Amino acid sequence: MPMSFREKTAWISMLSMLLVYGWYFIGQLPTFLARTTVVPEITSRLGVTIFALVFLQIIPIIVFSAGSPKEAQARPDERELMFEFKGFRSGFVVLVLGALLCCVGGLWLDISRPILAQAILFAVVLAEVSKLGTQIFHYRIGL
Amino acid sequence: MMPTIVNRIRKLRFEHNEMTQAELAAKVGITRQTVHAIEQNKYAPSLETAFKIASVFSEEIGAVFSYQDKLQ
Repeated sequence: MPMSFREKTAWISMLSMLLVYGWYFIGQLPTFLARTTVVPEITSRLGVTIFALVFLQIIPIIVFSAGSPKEAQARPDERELMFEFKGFRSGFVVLVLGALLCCVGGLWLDISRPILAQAILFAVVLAEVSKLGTQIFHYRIGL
Repeated sequence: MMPTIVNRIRKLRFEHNEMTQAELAAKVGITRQTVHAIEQNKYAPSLETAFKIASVFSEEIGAVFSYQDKLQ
């Protein structure tokens, strides 16, 4: 069964997030481990990450929209909305767990503010990937 | 075993000038993939969508969809 426009956009969003934030967090790993995180370095790397993410998500979506403009303009139907809600539910669970771990880290593990900020960002990214992954899973099993 | 809702959409499409899934989807306001999922009994549509589908074929909802208990 060919993919719907929304499934394609979910794939694009998830793959681009894994690629770009993967690059970001793997690059930051040595400084995390050494506990020598430098804020200006994080800022510049984050700027590149956001720019790359916007570029990698927008260009393919414009291409797919041009290929099927009707589908791109149509509102999501009930089944797609259901997938979206299921995605939000799983993303929310991941985000709450991440937030709780960050609370524990911030309150009792003496973690520096830059590292805590990175941990929060990581939780947000994981939550978004979980949301998109759940949506894609449901699209693929064809529920 | 979970009970399921089955339907005759594929047969009805064939009887209505071999209507395509895309045509039915456009008339009902859902995606072609959703029509496919309904036909395969993988997705049970909302009551509103079920009524719309039945209306496209000028049928009563019970003539298009029926409840089937897999235990039977």
